[in-house]
Amino acid sequence: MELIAQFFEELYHRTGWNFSVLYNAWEAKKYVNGIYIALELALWGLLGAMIIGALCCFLRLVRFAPLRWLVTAYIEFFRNTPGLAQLYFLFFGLGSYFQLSTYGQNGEPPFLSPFKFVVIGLSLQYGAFVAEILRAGIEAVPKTTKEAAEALGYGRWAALYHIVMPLAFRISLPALGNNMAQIVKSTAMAYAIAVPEALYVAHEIWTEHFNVIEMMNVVLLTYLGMMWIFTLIVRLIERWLHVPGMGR
Amino acid sequence: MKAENATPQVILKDVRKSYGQLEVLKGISMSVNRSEIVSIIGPSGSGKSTILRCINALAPVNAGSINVAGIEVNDPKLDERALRRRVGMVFQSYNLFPHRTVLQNIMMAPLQVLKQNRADVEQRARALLAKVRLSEKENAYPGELSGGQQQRVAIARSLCMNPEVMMFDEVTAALDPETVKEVLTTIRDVAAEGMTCILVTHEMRFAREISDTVYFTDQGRIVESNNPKDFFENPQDDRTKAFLDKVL
Repeated sequence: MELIAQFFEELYHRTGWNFSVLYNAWEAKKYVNGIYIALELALWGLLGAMIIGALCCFLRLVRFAPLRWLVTAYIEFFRNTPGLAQLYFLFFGLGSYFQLSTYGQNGEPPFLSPFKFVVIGLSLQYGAFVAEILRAGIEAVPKTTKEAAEALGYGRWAALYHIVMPLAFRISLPALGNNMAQIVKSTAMAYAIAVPEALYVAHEIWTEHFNVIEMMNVVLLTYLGMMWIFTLIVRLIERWLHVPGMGR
Repeated sequence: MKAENATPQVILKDVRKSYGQLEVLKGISMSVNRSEIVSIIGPSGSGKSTILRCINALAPVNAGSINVAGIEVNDPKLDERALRRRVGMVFQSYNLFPHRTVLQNIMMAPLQVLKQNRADVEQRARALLAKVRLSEKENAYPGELSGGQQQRVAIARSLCMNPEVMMFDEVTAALDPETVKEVLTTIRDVAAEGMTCILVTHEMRFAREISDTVYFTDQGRIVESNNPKDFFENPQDDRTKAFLDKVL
């Protein structure tokens, strides 16, 4: 660590390339914290998206049409509008209208922190995608497999639970992994409502040192690294769930 | 050999079934006795498979009545689970559950549908696996087995529900010639134990050898039925003659 810091400080003095975050201990600490917050946002968002997606997928199977329409409307809305606009809608729109994001008259902290708004925004946006992916997975389970379950006496929900869902989940996994990886990148929109994640911290640093180019490189490489780790985890899950000879 | 103690176990009376505008079954009547082996043969699209699908209520009938072991199949308050535990069905495309091992495939329905005791089911499943000569494959996944092996597992899976009637829907049609034999041997074993069997098949030699009665269907009607010797050697109807000329 010491050596790296020395190298980049030396680099700055000789060439003017200022990677301040790599030798200034205080900035480094702030930036690492920013990465930590980004990962936290991604993990909570992922969890929320999975829950919302599974719930929507389930609600769409219920034989009550208005409920299905409602869920479909939600999915279409959140899939086809920009994530940042959604976040603004939640934070500045709903948030201030219902006084969820504003400070109280006597300075009470807001009901929901910006961090929580981002988690909610990510969950809603990606939950819509998860719902679609899971539905495609269910539709990809061969009709004949469902028939075999029926012929063995399984009812609709029992077949869904024991046979269709486990298969659909495996079929969906690559698309699901892809979608989840997108969440890591989307955490950067938290910048817009001042959540101190990696991009926000980087912005703070470059306004102080005017080292935009250096910091942008650091930021992009950071996201690349996070994505790489994330993809690795998804691949491990895929291998763990792999069924020999099931390569449809 | 027609069983002497003839008690009808499956009775169809003037069964009609349409898919949309297309009438697939135009009044099918037949009666299958306990321990009787019945083969249904005929050209593609003549309604053979639909007869089987109507018997276990996979396809609801439009008119007529079906009675299986005392259960009225087109009763609106039909207990499907009660019907399907009595009627086993094996499909052309095997339809094993690819995410479960061979042994699990056989045990699933008795455990999850009939809620039977695990130790009993496991013992029965192992015995059936031995009967279809696949004991060494109990921990393999369906995708690791050949078509013939998968089909034998599918037969064991059906038998593990302790059905009273077994239906085989062109179970050898998707197999290569060498593996057809092993599946036919398994069916022969099942039939020899006194199980009531209804087969839809294109294996004329097998149908002749194993059946007590052969039915010939064409365009949604039963054209002719007889004991196999007379049916194959002395067909009465012109359509039967034409069909047999083509396939024998």
